[in-house]
Amino acid sequence: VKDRGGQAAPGVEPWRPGDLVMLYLVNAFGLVVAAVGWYGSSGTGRFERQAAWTNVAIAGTVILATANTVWLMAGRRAVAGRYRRIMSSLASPPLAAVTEHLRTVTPESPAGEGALVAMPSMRWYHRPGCLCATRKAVVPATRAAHEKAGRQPCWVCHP
Amino acid sequence: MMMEIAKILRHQWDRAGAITLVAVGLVALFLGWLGASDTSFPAEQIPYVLSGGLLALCLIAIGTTLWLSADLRDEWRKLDALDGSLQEQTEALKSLLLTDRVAKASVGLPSSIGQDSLSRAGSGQR
Repeated sequence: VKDRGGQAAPGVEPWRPGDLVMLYLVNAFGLVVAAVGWYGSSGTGRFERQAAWTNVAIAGTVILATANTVWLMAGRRAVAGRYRRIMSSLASPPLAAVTEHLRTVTPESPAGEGALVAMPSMRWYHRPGCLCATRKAVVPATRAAHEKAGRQPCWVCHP
Repeated sequence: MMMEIAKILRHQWDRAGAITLVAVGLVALFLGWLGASDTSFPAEQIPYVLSGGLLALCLIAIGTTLWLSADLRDEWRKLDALDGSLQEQTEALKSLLLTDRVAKASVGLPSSIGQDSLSRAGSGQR
């Protein structure tokens, strides 16, 4: 399930449907190879033969570890890609311009000095109508107070 | 109590599986060490290293993957909610601008906010 940009399309999880089956198969294969290595090693008392079977078991473990690492990296990449897409859509010129325009024409959202808002954990401060601040427990403060707290102006609403 | 545990297992199956696998891996590691420490012959120790040590490594690796996958799924769901909320907000802004009240006040509307721009904002195109 890939869109034209090569990114995983939004679904219930960041992986493509076939990825999980592939992970199961490769994990099972790795475990079988490791088990064969153990079986071969325990069936002989000669150290040279045991060393060879030990290598087989280690190879199975490496296969398993590689499959899991690739799986996690694919998930991480999909999450990061979606995060980037959301952030870039927030900063897209039409949306930012509409937000700015609504701020200036809507009487109930004045942009006074004390109206700039942020959450204590936020790195940026926003205008009250900014999309980045909606549905969040933001508190108003002056620009000086925000800047004293180390926050920077939001790059979407440009307070 | 049992219902609560069943509920947690149903909703957090991946984390429950991760904890179980890591616990079993640690037990396998201990048993492998126990078996290997019983003998001083390397030829007898190696099978214990493989069945205990490598099996433990595999189980712990799979358990860790399960746990990190659960974290990634959580993050994905949060982004999903954020994406949905953003689209709702965009639609709301679009409809607000199209109402009479805002249309009257939009005399000084910047030229970049034309119908074309609004359509693109609504459809998520860039």
